[in-house]
Amino acid sequence: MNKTKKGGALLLSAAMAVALLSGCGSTGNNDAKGTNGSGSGTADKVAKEGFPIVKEPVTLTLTAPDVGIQNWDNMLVLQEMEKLTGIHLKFQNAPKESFETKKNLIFASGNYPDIFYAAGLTTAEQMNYGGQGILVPLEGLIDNYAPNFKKILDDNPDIRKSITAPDGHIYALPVIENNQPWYRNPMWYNGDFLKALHITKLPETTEELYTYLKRVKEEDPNGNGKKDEIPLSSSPSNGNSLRDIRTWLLGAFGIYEEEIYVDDNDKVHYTPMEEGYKDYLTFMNRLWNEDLLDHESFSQTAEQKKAKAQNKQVALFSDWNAYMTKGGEPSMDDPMFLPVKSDKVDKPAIAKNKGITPGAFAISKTNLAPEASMFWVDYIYSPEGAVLFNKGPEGVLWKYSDKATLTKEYLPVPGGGDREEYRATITPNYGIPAPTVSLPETQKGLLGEFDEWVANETQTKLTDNGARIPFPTLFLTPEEQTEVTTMSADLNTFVRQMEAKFITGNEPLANWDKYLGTVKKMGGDRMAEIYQTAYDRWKKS
Amino acid sequence: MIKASRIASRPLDRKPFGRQLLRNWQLYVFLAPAIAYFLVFYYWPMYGIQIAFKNYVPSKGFLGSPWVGFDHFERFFHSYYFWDLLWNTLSISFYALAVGFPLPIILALAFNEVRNGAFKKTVQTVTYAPHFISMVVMCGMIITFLSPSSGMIVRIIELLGMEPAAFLTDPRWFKTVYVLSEVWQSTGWGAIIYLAALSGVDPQLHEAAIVDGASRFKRMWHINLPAIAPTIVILLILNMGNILGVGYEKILLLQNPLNLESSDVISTFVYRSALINGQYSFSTAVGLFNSVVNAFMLVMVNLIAKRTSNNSLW
Repeated sequence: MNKTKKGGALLLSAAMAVALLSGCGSTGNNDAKGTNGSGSGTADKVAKEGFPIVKEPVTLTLTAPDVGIQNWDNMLVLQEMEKLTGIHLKFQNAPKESFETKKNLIFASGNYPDIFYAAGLTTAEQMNYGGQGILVPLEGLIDNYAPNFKKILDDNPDIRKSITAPDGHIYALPVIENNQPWYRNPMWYNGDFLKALHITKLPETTEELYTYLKRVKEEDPNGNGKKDEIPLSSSPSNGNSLRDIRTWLLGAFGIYEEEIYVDDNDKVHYTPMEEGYKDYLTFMNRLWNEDLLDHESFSQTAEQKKAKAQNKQVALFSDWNAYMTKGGEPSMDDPMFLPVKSDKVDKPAIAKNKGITPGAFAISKTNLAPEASMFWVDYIYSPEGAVLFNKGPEGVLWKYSDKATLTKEYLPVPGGGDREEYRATITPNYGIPAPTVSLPETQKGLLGEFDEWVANETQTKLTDNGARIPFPTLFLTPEEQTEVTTMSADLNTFVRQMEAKFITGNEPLANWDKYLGTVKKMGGDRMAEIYQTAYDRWKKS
Repeated sequence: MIKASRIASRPLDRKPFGRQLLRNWQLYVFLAPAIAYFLVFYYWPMYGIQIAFKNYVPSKGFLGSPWVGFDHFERFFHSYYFWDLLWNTLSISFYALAVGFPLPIILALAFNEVRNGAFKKTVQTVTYAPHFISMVVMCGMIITFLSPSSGMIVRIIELLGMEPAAFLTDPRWFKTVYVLSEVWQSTGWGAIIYLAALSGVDPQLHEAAIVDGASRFKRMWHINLPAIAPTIVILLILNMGNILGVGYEKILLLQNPLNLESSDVISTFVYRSALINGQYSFSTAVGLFNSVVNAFMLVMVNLIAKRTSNNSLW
């Protein structure tokens, strides 16, 4: 007994020691935050042209989501940038998965980094924190210190319109990505199953899709003698279940986006209240009941889904490329999902990437060198900077085969291994909405057979089939924003919960009207109204 | 020496606080870090509670944000999920208390009867080892064990010829999964404090009882249990004070849209509205409501305990 007591006391004192230590840690942190950012960067110390952009070294803090592959201090691209600009960055990153939490904590705490990088600041956040003065208005800095970005804005007035808040300020720079039409990761068919079942023409209607999935379930395309095939599988990402499937199947019922979209007649719809959404639920419920939709779709991890695919069980799934889920080498035998249509619509609705993602780069009020910061980021929007951030420095993964035409060729990956994985260790531009601009010359000469094939799949299946932007990037007024934020918290929870219940049959679809009533009571109608007003305002401006 | 013994023999001697402090200053120096710790980390942050009655704007700070009175509380009480949240929080807490509270006592009483030292130590270590598994790992294990396609527990149930339930996605099962995994993780650890109390039982009582022919069960009931009764009552009061404070990490990690109707509790709601949606004032109001109910429960249970058993916190 005595021993237990002693053990307890020991543990207790250990716990206290830990508590004390952690206390010290956090105060230490605060001290550090107090002293950094003291780099003196008044405007006259910033060169207006040429490099390095600061006459004396400047240290700035930067916060970004971290995919956890490489310590940012060791990234070649960022080291190159430091050499080029004379700006030393101190990284205060947070894991990508919990970045949203971290971001909110930063804004609530008052300890701001000098730079928000790839932080995905929503228009609401830009307006809220910009209006409070936490984020610095950038338009003046753009005019004086960002020649490359200014040129982009002058050439594309639409971009300027989309990133300007209602108060006339620009609080954050966007990701400009015009070459990638995907709204989210596409879905891919498992080509082996298609071959085994002698499918030559991909399903074009929901019925054909259903028939195909049913055949997968029953005809044992993986040939192991067991009916262990899982026709359609999904896993929640960031707590949002089914989004990977929903993105592509809603279109079959004429719906462009899961929350807000505008139809061809400029009418804004709130998806969870649409008749087409009910049809989508009915279809998914049917897949669920016949065991065509993985019954673990709401609870499994992405790894569990991948394990099933690599076990040759899954016929249709979503990922950046099929091989990333299926395993093995990039393969042109796994075709992209061709958006299907139901008999209620003439053609499927296909969502296209907005081309710009807001909130990729912002400067906080504690930043003592906003001019230098703007100069730093502007380089990323230049052709050379875009190449540096997207492909890494010359001579690592690529070299110029013809410098005059900017044509490049790939070098073998150092140490072998996957090219994308290696790229993730040298540049921050991997898996996060980092500020960048997509220029055709960046890729010149680098597109391999597989890339061409993916581009062709995208062109023929999405773009040529009428993919369009579901809803423009726009700002709400502060009042509208407050109302939307207040309503959408409970509304989103309810809608996602009911979606799961309708699909799994825990709630019969006969209760659709009751569901509609509740959504209406929670403010579903107002959502459409508010966004309609905002859309009309955007259209006119 | 004489002086020291005089002090010791007159503990109730009331002197002005200042003189007492001067005379025993060493003791107060020892106490100071603890007081500072509580002031800095528990009382100082309380001044932030005011934002529950304000519209908190980070750039204006706690003091500068405008007052809105009880708006946030009203919004919460009228919100669609209010009754669900309250019911889930209370039912999970009481369920966990009803199952999880008696078990460590029974386990401790049983351990106390084991005479074989090596066996006792092994079993004790095995029962309290799960306590050291971190919550994230724990939830990962639960999800893996209960996975319908590959879960160990699901396989065992199938081998026994029964139809396994959808433990993680059926809302009816969520609370049981939560409570039973809690039992697995904390029973052994919880028994330690009772074992310590049991070690204080005078062996003479047992010897006398044996002479009188009392059975083992009788001795447990009439000697051991009364001996640890004060500990039980105090722990019960403390547990009641935490009734709405269900551990949110675990619930959050086990949550999915399918079990949400029985798994969403006040603390996960606070997490969502504050850290995901950035509504600081609203979530502070909800959290404050939670704390007020907790404090109320603590006072009530303490009162009842005082009346009925003479054991109480204060």
